[in-house]
Amino acid sequence: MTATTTTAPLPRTHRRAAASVTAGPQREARLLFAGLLVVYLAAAAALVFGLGITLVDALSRVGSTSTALHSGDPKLSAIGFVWSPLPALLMLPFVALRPVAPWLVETGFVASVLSAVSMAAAMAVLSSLLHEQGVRTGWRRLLVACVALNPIILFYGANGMSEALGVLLLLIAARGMQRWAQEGRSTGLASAGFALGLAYLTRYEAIAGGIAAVAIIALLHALRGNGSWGERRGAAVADAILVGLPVAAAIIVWSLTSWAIVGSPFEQFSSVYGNSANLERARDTPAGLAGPSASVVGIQIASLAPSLMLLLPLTLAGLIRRRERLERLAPVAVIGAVLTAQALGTLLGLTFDWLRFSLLAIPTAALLAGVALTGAARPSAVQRRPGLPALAAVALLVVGMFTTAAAMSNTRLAPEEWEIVATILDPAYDGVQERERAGERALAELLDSRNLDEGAVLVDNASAFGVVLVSAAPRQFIVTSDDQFDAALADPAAFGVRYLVVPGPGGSDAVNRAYPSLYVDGAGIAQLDARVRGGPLGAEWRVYAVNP
Amino acid sequence: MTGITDTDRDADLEGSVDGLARWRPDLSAHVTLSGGQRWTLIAAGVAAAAALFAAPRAAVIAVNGLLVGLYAAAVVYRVLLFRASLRGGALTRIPDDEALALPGHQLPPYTVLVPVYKEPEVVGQLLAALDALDYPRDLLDVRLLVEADDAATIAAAQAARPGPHVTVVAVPPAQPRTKPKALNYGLSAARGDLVTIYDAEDLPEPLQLRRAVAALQRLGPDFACVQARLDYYNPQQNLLTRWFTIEYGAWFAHLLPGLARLGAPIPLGGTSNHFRRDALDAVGGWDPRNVTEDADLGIRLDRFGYHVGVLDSTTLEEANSDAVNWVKQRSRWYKGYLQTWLVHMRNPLRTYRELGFRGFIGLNLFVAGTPLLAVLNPATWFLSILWLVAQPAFIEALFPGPTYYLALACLVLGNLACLYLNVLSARLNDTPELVPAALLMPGYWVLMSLAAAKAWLQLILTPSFWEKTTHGLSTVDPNHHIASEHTGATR
Repeated sequence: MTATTTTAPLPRTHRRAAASVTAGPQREARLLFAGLLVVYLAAAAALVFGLGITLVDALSRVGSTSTALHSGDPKLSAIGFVWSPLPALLMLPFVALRPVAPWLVETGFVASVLSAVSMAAAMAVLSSLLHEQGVRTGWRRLLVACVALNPIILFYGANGMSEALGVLLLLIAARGMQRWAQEGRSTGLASAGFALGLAYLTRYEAIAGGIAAVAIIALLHALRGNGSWGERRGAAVADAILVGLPVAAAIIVWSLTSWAIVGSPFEQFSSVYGNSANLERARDTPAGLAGPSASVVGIQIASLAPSLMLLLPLTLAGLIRRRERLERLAPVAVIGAVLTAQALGTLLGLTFDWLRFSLLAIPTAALLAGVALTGAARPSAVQRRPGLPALAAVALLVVGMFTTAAAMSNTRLAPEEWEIVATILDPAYDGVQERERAGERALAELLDSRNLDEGAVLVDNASAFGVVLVSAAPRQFIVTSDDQFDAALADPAAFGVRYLVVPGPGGSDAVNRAYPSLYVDGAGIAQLDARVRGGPLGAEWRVYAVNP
Repeated sequence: MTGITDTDRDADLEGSVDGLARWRPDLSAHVTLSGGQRWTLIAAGVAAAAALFAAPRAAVIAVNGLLVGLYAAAVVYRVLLFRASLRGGALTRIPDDEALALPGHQLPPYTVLVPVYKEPEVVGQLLAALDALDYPRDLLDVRLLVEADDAATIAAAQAARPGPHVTVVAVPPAQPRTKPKALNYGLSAARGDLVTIYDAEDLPEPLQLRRAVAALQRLGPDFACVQARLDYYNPQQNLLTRWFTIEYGAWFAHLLPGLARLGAPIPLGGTSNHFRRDALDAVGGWDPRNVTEDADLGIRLDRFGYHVGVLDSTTLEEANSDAVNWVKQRSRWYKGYLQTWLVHMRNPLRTYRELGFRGFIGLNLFVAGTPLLAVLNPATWFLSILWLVAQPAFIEALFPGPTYYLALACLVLGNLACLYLNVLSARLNDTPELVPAALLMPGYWVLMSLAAAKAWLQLILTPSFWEKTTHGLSTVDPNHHIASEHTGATR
């Protein structure tokens, strides 16, 4: 029995020598991280402070994190169980700095910092992944540049959404799988497992990556394993557990916690604020979405990564001809699985057809280009010049930067992004995000100016997070996560609630659901006190004074 | 044919029993608590009583917070050890050809001490295993250490007709009746430049002695000892042996090399430690009153400025397959660890100077941390289940905000991390068939907590009582493991 870190299924002759981690590439990765961090942070600052744009999803995450710390009833579970917790948990120590640096939190900039750090790190990981794949320095730098400076990658590095963290963790997982598949390092499986577990806690569809990893392990052991069938099965099971255990633990711990605290394990689907409910509501509205279609999803992917259209059939052909390529596709399979899951989810109507669900196509294309560029599976002293298909793939990656920019300005392809692009191009453009942020600020100022007591204003945090976040007196609000929320909603006067604030008629807002006619006529319990323009979905905020 | 040397004038019974206590009483476990420690304990007790009287809630929360903090530190340290071992370099590998190529004049006289107590049935197998050792017989000095009144074992030894290099040493009866006392006695008349120990049921890999010589040559005179790896020849006998094998695998492949890498003292294993005789004499031999004399010796060597290496050569042992027997054995180990910690913390400043910062951390978080974790973990589980089921007010009071989250993290993340490390270790040691058993390790932890509770109790009541482990319970025939099964350091 020997202690070893190499327990790969590959016979020794086929294993590539471990890519030496010399000082050069490590330093380069660090410089790359630092440089990109500056770029993404600058872009973030321009968006948030220059144009006053903060995306609502990012702001809402900062809002719930802030509620966990600064509300009248601070507790960790205020982060909420509908959306995945990791971004909020990571922001927690920084949101705690709100008293000394309110600008960081109230504008939602802390989320942008997280996404900038994540995306810059992701690009550094991509660079080391390509290096370990064997891509030569010049090509590697070109590939990384095409990805890092791609407009949508730049945008998601700057805008505070959780996609950036997801990309980082998935790339770490991909790199771990590559280290295992090509160099035989079992520790690669461990890092892949942990990265996938954390990725699940960032974006639920990362579970597809976990499934893909287990499938790859099974496949490689079956095709390439050492020893008898029994031994191969044993080794495959052990390896699958190494990857699967952290993922399973993440799923189980998170759903158990959710079940223990809010009573249901999968709030995404069951909660009134969850994805499924949002979809239902969207279909009901007159301005409802046209509905997902394969062509839209296809065009979205194609415009972000046109090289995929070329690379996918190439790769399949290469696989059929030379089966050594199988190991080299391990990292691609992990990311590709998540991309596929997102595309399928859109096609099946399980989610909205946001352009960002095709984001992973870009690093996937870069990895596939890397495989195409490195030619033969056997390490050879002299690398052959890349063939025409590989060159075409790289060229298309460059082209992709421009097609992405075009897609991002298209209202059909980029329902979330096109307004931001329009505002960037013409700052005078009055976008929805700007209007909503301004409305929240105005409402917060109005309420703050009245110097109210603690717990004087009852709001549903899911709609009013922006107001609570910008207010100088967050404790004046009773929000959904507070223990006394339900009781106070049922009998506001008895709890000292002086105002009820609603964002617009109907919807998922808890106050609206409790008092359906409140927005229109006060539901007999309150009188209209103030109206503020700039509520969600174009409606206005209404402040109702509770009858004593 | 040897006789039995029962009045060997070279052997020193008195020294074996009291040598260490007379020479350096501060290093001997002849008392569990030193005078200073006794006073500290009394003072702490008084302070605790006063605090409970004056500000009970704050006092309890503070103590609770401290325990949770220690728990977290011990778990984090284990993870760091593991990671350090993965960086490599802490395991000394001697390839077969290098071991075999050592010329005769470079091989020193070697003493092999084998304490045997009331085990007549294993003597035959033991002698066969020792016979398989590849070392010139004229340089080998095997000493079977039997208690003088253990007639059955002595008879069995004589009946087995050992070669001239084997001496059956009758240790005169004297309290304490412990293995380390016997070892000291055997050592006092030994002639070898190098010394090692094997237990009665051990099956050392044949080239181990040669590898030890080469390793000590390579590592230099600073290294007083190399510890070989221990493994089991009956891993799959039942669930308990699987767990034990996984644990040993993690211990010798990852935790000990990790300790070496992090500059912490290495608690030695019970057998297959290969010493330089002069270093052993310089630090005072084994402590006959410590029930884990091996761990204690490892710390003492470090305090005297020596290093310990880890040798990539395996000795096969019998894994305890009976739960009750296992708990007895484990409780002795935990008690010994606590004894060891208490001995070396009699003068914490001096120990800190001698071990250095990293060594001091290792002594506390690993040697004391192990029995501490084993007893805190079940308490945390218990409180958590109680909380989930009944939500009693005292728990809410005990765990305010930060303590609550830290304790929760310890419970969930700490347990998951330890579980995962066992799985990873099983995989890295090329024993994938043990991975499913690794998933069930929480059951093993239950047994560990029983052992820990027993240990703490015995520490207070009967510190030097040595509970003998019953051997020979294995259903696996060890004989076919001798000589043929061992794989060398290279594969």
